[in-house]
Amino acid sequence: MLASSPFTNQQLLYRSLLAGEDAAFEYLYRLLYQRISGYIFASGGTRDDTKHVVHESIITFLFNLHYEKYQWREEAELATYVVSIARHKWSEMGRQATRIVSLDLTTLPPDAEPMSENDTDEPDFEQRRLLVDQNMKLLGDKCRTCIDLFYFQKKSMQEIAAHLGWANEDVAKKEKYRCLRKLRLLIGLRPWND
Amino acid sequence: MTYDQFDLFDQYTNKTLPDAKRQALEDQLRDDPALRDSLRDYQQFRHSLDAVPLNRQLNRIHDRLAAQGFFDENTSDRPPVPLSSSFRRRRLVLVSSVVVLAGLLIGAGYWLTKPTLAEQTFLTYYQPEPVARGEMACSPGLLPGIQLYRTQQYEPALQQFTALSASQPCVSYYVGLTQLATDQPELAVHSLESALKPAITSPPLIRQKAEWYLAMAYLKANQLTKAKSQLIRIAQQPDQPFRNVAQQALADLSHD
Repeated sequence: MLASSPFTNQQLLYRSLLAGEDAAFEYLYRLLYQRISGYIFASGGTRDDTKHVVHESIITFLFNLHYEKYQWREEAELATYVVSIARHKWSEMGRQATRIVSLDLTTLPPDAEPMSENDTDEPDFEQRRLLVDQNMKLLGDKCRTCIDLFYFQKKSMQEIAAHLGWANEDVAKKEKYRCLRKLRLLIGLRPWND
Repeated sequence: MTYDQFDLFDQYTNKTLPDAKRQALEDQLRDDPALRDSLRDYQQFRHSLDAVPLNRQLNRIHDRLAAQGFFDENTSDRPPVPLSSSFRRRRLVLVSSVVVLAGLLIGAGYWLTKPTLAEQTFLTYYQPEPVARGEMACSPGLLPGIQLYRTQQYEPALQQFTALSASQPCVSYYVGLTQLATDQPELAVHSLESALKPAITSPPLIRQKAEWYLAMAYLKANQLTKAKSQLIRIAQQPDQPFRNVAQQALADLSHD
């Protein structure tokens, strides 16, 4: 399966992930699943657990990729880094559920590298994502549509202004800011003040 | 966080902040821990929003892989069944032979179809125009074609674009972009060169993007000298959003 991948080198994969290309995510998904599933099953996990770990690891990895916490290194394989995130996620899940009795070091994927302090100090993106999804419903129609069009559908502010009947891009940007402030309050984050 | 700060962080994250302002912000970030915290807070919130469609995308990939039987092939909730040693030995010999043969074939294939440096650089740096921000600066008549391009329906997109007058701003750019996506690099070179003629008054961002994709088209068409000149032109412009990536591509090409 992987042999037919168009990702002939790590840099291409890196760029394609940053651009949000579906083929790149599928490639990473396959790779991560293959490398981490044995480890998870060996420590009592299920397919659903593996799916959960894969999704959350890729989401965290994307944060590190976008905000330059992951420093590009020519010789490093991206998947190795994601495996280390996945291993950490699974350990966290185990701690939370007190399900993993003991992690035998021999079951660790051989290519997993230790994570640095910086890789683990992010907020719980899963919890926040669920809160965003739930609280979007509590926003007014225009706010909900504005956030949906910009962040989920990647439309430009000009398109959003035209769609929602706002005078221009500047007005739309201010409205977006106002909507995000409301959303932050709803999900219990520190308020933004003018 | 004030609106102005939010707007600044938004542009910085979207990589639409001009070079000079970006540099000024980065200088400020180095010296101001409170500003760094604000940026971090913005980025984490932003990622919580971006993660919603990303998780949906991952769910779609999961469903697609499940339909292909990927999880049945790659995972087993059952304990492995030991193979008898003789069968295992025969299988090992067979697998080894296949691997050696495949290696020889792949090696031969690689040397026969080894990409040129220009093609390799194109493969590394080319991607279809990824984000739909900014094209509203063009004529609204282009939007149906742009929507088709975004969904990779290149043939109908090309029909939409070519039906418009080439003298209109942006038309030659999108024609060239689509030709490049449909593996017609020589035609793409012609269209993108036309898009950059002084007589065509396209929005500045479109001209900058046309410069970059023209460099990509030269690479794809194996016109290495022209590609290098074009990349140098991009790398020398402080406000060119493709400046950094052009410098990287030039560095890759200089390894030849």
